[in-house]
Amino acid sequence: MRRAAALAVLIVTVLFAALAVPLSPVRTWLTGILGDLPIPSAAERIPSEPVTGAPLRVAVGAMISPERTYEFYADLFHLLAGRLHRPLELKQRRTYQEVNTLILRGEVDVAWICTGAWPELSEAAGARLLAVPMVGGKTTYNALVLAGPAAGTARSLGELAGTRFAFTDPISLTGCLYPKRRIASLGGDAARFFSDTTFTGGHDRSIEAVRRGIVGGASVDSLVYDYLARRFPEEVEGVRVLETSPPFPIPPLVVPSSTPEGLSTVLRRELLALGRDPGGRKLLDALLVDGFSPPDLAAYERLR
Amino acid sequence: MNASGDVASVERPLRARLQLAITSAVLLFGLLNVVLVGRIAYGALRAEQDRRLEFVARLLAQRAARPLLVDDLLDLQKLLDESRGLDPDLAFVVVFDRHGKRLAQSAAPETLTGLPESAHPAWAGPARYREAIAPVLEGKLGQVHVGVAEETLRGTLARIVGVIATMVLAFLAVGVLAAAAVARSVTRPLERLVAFTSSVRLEGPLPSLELESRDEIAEVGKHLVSSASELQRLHEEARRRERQLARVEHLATVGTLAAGAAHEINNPLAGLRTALERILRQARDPAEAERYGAVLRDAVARIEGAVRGLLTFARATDVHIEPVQLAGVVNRALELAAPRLEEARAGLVRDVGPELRPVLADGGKLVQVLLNLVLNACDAMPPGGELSIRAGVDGEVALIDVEDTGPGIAPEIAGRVFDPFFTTKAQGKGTGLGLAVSRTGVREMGGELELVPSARGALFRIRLRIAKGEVHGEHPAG
Repeated sequence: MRRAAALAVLIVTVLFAALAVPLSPVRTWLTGILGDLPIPSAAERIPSEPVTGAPLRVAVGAMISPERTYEFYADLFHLLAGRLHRPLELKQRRTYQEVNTLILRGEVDVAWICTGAWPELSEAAGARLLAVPMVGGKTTYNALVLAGPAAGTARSLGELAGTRFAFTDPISLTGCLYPKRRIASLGGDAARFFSDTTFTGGHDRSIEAVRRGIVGGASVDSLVYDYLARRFPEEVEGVRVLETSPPFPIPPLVVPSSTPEGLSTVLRRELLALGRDPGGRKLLDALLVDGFSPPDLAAYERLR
Repeated sequence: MNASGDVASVERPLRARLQLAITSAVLLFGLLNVVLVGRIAYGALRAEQDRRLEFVARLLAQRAARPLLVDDLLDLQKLLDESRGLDPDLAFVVVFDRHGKRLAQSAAPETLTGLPESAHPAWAGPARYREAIAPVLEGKLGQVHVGVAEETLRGTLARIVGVIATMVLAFLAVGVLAAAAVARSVTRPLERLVAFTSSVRLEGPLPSLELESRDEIAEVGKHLVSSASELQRLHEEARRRERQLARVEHLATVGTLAAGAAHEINNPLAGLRTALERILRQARDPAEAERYGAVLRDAVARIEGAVRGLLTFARATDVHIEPVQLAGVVNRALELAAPRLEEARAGLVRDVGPELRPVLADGGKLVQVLLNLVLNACDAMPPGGELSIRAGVDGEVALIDVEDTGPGIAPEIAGRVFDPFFTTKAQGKGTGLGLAVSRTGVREMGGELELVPSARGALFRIRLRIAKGEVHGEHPAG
């Protein structure tokens, strides 16, 4: 009995002595045992989709932030690609120019671009107009000059002089080209008219910058502004519209020259049919788009 | 008292067991501590790390969305590099597209051997990783995998276990010392008790027992010392009684011898007296015969008295015990002793009230006992002394004291005055049987006769039981 107890004490003592020594096998063993406690990882597996066939490559210009673009347009283009029995490859770039480059290189099959990006493509004969969306019964849109809390009581673009101003993209029609032209018409120069300018990379981001007072004002796409004002009114809260431009042709869908005629025909047909399809109708309604229609080529030609 | 109860030879020493028990308790507690705290620490660490991993994974997934959306792999790579810079514990960050194709990783591929299978089957290896996976844009764009090596967690755990183990070892050291001290404090007094009990002897001085404590053990020690002392006293008492018994046995033998001798003397003595009377009746010179006859008669009478006393002592005569009034008994004895009292010109103090309750006694024998005591007192006192007879009560016992004003009895012979044939009287004046016969008589009555120390002279006390209930009637004293 006593021997057994003494032996037990000896064993435990040795165990402890071994435990106290860093990197001792016993300590490693014990931490190993303790370390084997089953605590499930919080991570969850995301099933990935199988790849089938050549994808339909769709580019969307950076009219709004990439995340929002994906959120708004991915489903629509998935549907479109599905109609063609092809998987979708949605491509985005930070700038309109980069998207134009994709189109000119033929790296996409179809693209939804800003109206302001069209003249370059048209001049280079790099793309054809495919279809245009109809919003609120119109195929036009406007530039809206916005002012936020940082602009004080400014009531016109002219009164935004000396403030910080947000452009969307250097070749954005409503986000850059229009306000620059307006300032020029006021006899100024954008570089000097504002205290500072910035490129936000998306109309939604420009609106956010105005709302949060990061910039005094911005010029944005009326489609984006109206959409946010309707769907997410809190995102335009405190943002005032100082000026509305004359109508411009709405941002069109184009196909690069490299896209086969057959594909572009099918694409146009499917796009125009979307509004009559229950699935397509639902997606279009979510985007506040009435449907797609053939483009008024002349209107776009005038932009040049 | 077992002399072999030496502390060193105890089969299972208490000290060792106490030390063992306390040390084992500390060890057990320590082990439990290490295991429990280790488990808790590991659980907490792991949960915390998982939370952190998940947070990092989600954050990276959020931030990876834009580079993924715009196909900016450089930005994606920079993001991963930054993330590793911010958290050195991250073993890897890998971004997969939604088809499972690896788009970017935080470290060079060759350093990523042993990645979890979930990250890439081909990378499964011996190293173990804790991994968090976060979808990018709800998984539509891909996944971000973030991992830390289990080794990182184990290193932290090992440090914690090390600290606890060190603490436990320190506790153990303190505990063992404390155990030794406690065991010593408990067992040391016990060892002294053992040493004490093993060295106690029936005779001789008691060994000393020094216990500093004032606890139960000290109490036991006190009792042990007093018990040992009592044992020695009882042993001494037994020895004394043994000696007394030997003397009594000796006396009984002497008594038997004396009784036999008395019987042998008695018969011829009767013949002798008859013959003497006849000779005296027929003597030629009546005067001379009368003179020698008186001498002879006196001698024979003396021999007869001695023989009668011996026989009384040797033979237990029948005793008739009944309630007796003390006053009557005392009166009768004093009447009988009156001539002798007169001769000794002794004063008499009598304090025996009639109100005393009767005692259980044999009236005739009690008269003889009292007479004997009174006559002894007269012999002992010089002329003009004073004799006191007092009766009293001590609980259920009546006391009759007979006290004289003689020289008293020296303490060295006090123990022997009741022995047969012991006498302080001059040769020929006493047989030495009076007190012995008296004590025997009183004892037969269920009482006791004893010599009580007195400042005046000799004081003999008779103790007799007091009768319960009514007296049957005054016993005719005599």
